[in-house]
Amino acid sequence: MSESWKATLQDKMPLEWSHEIDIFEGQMELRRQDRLDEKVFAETRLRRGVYGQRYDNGQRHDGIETRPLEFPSGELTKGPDTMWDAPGMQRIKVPYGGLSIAQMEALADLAEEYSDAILHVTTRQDFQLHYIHIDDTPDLMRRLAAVGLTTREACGNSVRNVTACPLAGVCRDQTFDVTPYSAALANFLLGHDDVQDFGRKFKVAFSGCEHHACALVNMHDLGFLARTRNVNGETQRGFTIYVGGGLGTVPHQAEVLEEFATVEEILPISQAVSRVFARHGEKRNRNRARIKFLVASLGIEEFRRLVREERKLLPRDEAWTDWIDDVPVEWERPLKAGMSLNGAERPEGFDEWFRTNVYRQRQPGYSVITVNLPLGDITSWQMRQLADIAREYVSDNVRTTVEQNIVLRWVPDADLPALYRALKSVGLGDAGAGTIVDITACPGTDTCKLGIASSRGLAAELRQRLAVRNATMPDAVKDLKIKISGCFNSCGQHHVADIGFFGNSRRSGNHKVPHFQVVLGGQWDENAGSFGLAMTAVPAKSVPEVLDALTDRYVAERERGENFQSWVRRLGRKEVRAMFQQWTKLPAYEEKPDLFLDWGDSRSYSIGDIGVGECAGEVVSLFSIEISKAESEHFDALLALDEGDYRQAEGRSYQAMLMAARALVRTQFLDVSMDADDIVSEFRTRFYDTELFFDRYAKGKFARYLFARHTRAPERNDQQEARRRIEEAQLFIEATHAAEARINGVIVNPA
Amino acid sequence: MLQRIGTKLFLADGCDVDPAALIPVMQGWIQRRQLPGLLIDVADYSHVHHGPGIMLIGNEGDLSVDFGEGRAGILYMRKREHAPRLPDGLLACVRQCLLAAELLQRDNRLPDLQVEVSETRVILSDRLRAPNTPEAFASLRGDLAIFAYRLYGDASLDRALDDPRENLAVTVNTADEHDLAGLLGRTAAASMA
Repeated sequence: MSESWKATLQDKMPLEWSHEIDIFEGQMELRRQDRLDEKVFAETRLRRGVYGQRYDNGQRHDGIETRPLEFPSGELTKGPDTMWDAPGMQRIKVPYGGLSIAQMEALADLAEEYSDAILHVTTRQDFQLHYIHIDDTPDLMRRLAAVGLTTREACGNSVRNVTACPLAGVCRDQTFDVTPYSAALANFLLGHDDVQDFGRKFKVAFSGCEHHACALVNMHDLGFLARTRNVNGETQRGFTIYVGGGLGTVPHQAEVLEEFATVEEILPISQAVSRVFARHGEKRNRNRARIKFLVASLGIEEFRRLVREERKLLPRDEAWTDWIDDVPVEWERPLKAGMSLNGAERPEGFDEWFRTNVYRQRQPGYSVITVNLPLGDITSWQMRQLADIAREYVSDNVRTTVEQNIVLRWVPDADLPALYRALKSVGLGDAGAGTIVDITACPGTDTCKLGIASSRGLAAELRQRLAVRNATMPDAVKDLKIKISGCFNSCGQHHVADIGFFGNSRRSGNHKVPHFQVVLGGQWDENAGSFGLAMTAVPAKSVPEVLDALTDRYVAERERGENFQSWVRRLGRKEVRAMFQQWTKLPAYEEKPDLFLDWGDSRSYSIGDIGVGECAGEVVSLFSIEISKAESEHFDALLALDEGDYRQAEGRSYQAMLMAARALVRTQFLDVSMDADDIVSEFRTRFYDTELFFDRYAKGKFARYLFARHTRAPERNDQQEARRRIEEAQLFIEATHAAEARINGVIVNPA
Repeated sequence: MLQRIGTKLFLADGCDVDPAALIPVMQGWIQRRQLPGLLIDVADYSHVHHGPGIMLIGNEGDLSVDFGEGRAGILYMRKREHAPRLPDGLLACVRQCLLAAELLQRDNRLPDLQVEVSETRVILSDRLRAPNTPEAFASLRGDLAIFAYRLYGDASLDRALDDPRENLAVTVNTADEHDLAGLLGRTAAASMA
């Protein structure tokens, strides 16, 4: 019996990967001995996909008070303010979502042995394991490496998992199968010298067509959209390359870098983009360090010029093209012959499942089926059963999706009833894939250090409620998409949902209340063609009622053929806001204590170590009155945007920021004038320079939105600029709320 | 040494538990530090079929009201190093389950919850040192028998799961009469250290 995984798997791991893991293990030892700086180790660790988790600073609010978590390794840290023993998250890259049966089984084992027997599929086709001890990570990585999976650069300032449409190769509308190209680029960029010096992370996606959402190229740092063109009577494959897209706090639509790049050019162009980003991208201020900011500041023309110049200078690399001749006509082979479904006996529930979870492939007689995972979770045992099902029906033709599901491809249609029975027997036969019950949610306050509200708790609640109503729900509602983020950072992709939510908080008297901002009008189709805008914040516990009101009214009032986005537009922001009004006024804690809790959590709500001081005891504070004026101004900016008056929308957003800043200044200095210079100066002196405005993670990021706009008015007044300012103002107002609660709030946490 | 070891005590047949009701119960255990070891957080996996249900995450190990195999029970999985001898480590695990059982049965928010103590499932989650094979079971049988004897006295041992991909799991059954208090007494010497 071998005593180590390292020895057991030595011959099964790629040599380079094995060596890298050994190096990481050595760095862990150096850190244990305090011979490696904690900041350096933190970035090293992140580049191995070993991520922090909530409470890893060694303290947790247990509902009564914030208490230290006394880990056995004492003061030893794995990064600034990150305790060595604290449970962490391990992210595992799955390029283009492609999984083999051996990988599925290995993942199941690892989740069981090192984590909590749960595998979580992310919105970037990765897997995440939670509650991992860092000491276990080298062996975990070795066992992954032995089945061809890596965690390298799964986190940190580098190229993250390269995603692709899960239907690539079998999609009826695709231009061609993007799988080989996404695999080649993922392989080329992994650990490449030119991707080691980024200021921030870098996300890449491939899509086979323009109209579906599967790969969301418009919201990526670098996106590839399959194209063909005719050259001398021959069809030539290539890609439109997009750059500078992203969600995050302020979403940016990607811009076209190259209208058509041949397949031979996609690797060198990506390398050139990487060099330009590494050379010119922001390094010091991480809040402005994504490539979207570089593209926006340079302008796409200048950025394109720099990339083309760089491309010319790159020394030729055989790796750019040596894979092309090996690209097979078909990336995958079916396990079984395609056969039609005709006449097969259909088990109970099959028809509904067939309607929502089965996609007819371009290849006759075959379908893709979606395994609808609740909140993206699957147990180790289920994963093994799914591996067995794959072994019987499709072999290694399995992929994860950005909607946190798993698809089995190349299922012979005649096998669909038997496959459905098999999935059902292991709890994986839920219908509703891609519908309103199939809710996407980031980890939120469950495990994420940045979470403000429980996105998973809310998603679980909504899923349960909607599943009950599913049978009687009109199709117009069933087909809506809900996406939830636990904070403004958009990991749940709330900007591209019909109905999105992101977590924030409000104060009522001396208590904090978890809230979700309602974001309406985002577009999932057309590769995330447009982003939704925030309407208003409602208490977390009111979201189910808000959702019911919204969908009921949509069903009642929609015109024939009118989709949700059009209906929201027609209804108008004023009316939407009026509809939500009844939920925005907060009662006193004593009146409705349940409202002051988050979903799935019985602790009194807290977002961290909020200072305890004298109770102000006010009913309605001056701040509450003044900040509401800022919110009103912001709302008017939204209306102006709807009316196409971009200059006014932008100006009002700036005004809203000034009003919010003034509201905060007046908590310390009542006599501040209405003059913009005075407000900004007082705000800077009192709240920015003192760091009172800073929160633990965003620091002074949102204040700088105000400073930047105050220093320089925009040169153009177009829709994009107005939308950006509106988003910035929204975030600034939220941050002002949070700062005021931190500074002046006396948060009582009843047992 | 086997590091990832665990035990599960099953809930009595017909015992219906609402997972949501367990969340405030376990949060209360953290507040009042009612179980040995460093308790960190509560994770809700009630949305997953036959999953870990509601889990109390700890530093040394995780305790859950688990629904694996479709049989609800109190599962404690040790993650970090424990007593050097396997029987001692398993006794510490089962004691953690028993302490949790006592707290749960006493909690009036869970009036129907009853724990059956005549069967204990042992889980050895280490595919390197203890794969789920008859040979590995045979080689560990001596240590498992010591554990079973110290817990119950007379008891039988059976390998629980056939699938070689699963954890090595062993069912420990006794025909003798035992109750929770008695087993807590028999395991009193077991330590979390």
